[in-house]
Amino acid sequence: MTTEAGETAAPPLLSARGLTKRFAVRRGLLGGASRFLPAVRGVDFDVRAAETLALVGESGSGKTTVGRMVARLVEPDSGSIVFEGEDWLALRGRALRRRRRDLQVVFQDPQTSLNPRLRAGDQVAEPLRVQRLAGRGEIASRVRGLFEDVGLAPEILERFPSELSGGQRQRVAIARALATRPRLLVCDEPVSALDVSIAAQIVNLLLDLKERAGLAYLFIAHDLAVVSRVADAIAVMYLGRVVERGPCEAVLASPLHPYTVALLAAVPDPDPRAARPPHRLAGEPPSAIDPPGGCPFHPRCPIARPRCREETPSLVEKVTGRSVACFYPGEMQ
Amino acid sequence: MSAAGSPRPPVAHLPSPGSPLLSVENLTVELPAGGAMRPALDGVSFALEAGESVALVGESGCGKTQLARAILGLPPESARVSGAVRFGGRDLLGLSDAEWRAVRGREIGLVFQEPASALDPVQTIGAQLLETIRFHFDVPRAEARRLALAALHDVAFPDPEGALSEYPHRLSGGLRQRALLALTLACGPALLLADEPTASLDATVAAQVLDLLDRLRRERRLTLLLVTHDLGLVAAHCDRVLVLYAGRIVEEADTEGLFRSPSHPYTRGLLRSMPRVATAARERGRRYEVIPGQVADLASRETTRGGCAFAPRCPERFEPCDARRPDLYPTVAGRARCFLYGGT
Repeated sequence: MTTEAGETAAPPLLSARGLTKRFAVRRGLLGGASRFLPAVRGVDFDVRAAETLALVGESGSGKTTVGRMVARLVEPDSGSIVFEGEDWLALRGRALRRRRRDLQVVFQDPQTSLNPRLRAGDQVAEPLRVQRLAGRGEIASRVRGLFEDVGLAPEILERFPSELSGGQRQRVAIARALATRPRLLVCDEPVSALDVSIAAQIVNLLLDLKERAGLAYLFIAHDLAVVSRVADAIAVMYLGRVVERGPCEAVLASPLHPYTVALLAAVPDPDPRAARPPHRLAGEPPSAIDPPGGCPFHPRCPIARPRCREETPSLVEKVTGRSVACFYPGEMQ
Repeated sequence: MSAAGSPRPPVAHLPSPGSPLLSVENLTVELPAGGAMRPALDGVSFALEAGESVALVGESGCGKTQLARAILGLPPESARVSGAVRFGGRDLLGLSDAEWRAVRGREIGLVFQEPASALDPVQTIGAQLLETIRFHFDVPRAEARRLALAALHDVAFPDPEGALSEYPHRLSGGLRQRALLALTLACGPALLLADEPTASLDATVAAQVLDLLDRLRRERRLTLLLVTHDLGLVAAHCDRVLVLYAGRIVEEADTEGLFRSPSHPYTRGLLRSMPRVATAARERGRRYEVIPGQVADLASRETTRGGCAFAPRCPERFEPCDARRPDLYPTVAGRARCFLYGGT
């Protein structure tokens, strides 16, 4: 992983630069002057072929908006996305529909992302028909093959989403996303609505698919435990910015940003004898509508100093391949 | 913080020394599904001592929510309930609606996963607190207001005075959960039922809420029944664990013992599939050891099936598992409903 130096041979599969998005929010029920919520403020990252980049952060961090911009469900105000060497944001209409087959999305809640009136088999057949990826005679066998790939029994083909368990629904959603043989899957909290044992099954499936199909993932999640299993690289977001980025195990083993340290400390340890981690954060993420000046994390940061209130640290490379937006990186461990 | 020193309502209903605060005996809740009455809870028995923190662990469909509803006297209309739920010596299942109103909210408090749905969106936090306090206590308005401020102070609400005039939607998720806790604790319940209280919160905020519950429990000798599927929370915040599977308790143990030597194959599977932060390169990409399959849904659960409900998913299944229903047998750390520990 040398996302910073850019010295690796192959260009990244997807490369985002300066992604920015603000949403207009009205002030209360009767309107009034509208204000802007800067959801994403200048975010850069690369996803390499057959690798997983995890976007990590709490609610309000902007990670979901980033995923939606990559999936072209939300248009950025500025910034660029290059996907497979092409200006992804310039694609429109038919060209975009065609190219979407290479970049598919799996959402958190398959209950709402699946069509309740379509049988499971038809959900998966739909993209094949729309994208004309299989002749009429082939569709049934392709769908059966996809069901097998995601570990669904053939009798599920005839069921409606309401007749499936949460884990089965998520498998159907994954099968549908895989139908077009994408190279990149944007997974937005794909297991956070599932029970622990079912979530573990889905994580295993995503790992298998990555190996078998050479898939790359933009894996959006708040759960660092899950992320630590699946990610090659991590970008930690806070209030619309990336505050730390680097290879997964390096970031988790020796986090440089105080926020990353605190996120790790908040993961419950399944060992009753474990000492309570010392770095409990106070407060909650401030509203993105009024982000604090200076470093956006300073009001909650245990090591904040006067400089942190005055200036905003930018994301700079501190160690090869590792970037952090903090004036005192690595001080809190 | 002028409210800090004001008296709280007395702790509701302390049991006589030596008897448990809550005891659930052979509780069975049957619901109509697939054309018959099926047991969502099947002969559940356990007891909570005053001041204990006990986790009720299990996946969706195992009966956690039915158990919480039965303890609160709110089973679904269509349910058939049998057994006993004794609280402070009385059998709650026999209470009239009027008697229930004095228990629910006053002696037994409930905190849900989603505070937004438990708070009234069109009333201020203050109005809801006053209403609840004056419903249960015959106190003048000024006194109710003092109790309300004390409750907000207890849950470490940043600005208790200001909170009184706030509406729920103006609060963040963490503050809403604190407001709901204040509302629940304002009447000084002896038992708090918390059903996935932090599932909708961010990790850093969830940790704060659980630390708060720990403190309140110590300070007020509150008894906590924490319903969750997150074993990480259990390790840090509970004294004892009850593992529920398909409507039956399959293992009970003290927390340390359960994590050190889990006995039931289901508990072992849950612990193995529990995500931990893997920092070593060799752990990345490694598959979880998972429990195959899923809990049988209620409609396909047989009332008369002879064997162990977990047998179809169990890696250690042997002959008796399909023939008979296991009882709870003693283990190193507690008891487990599995023929590996007795009954053969």
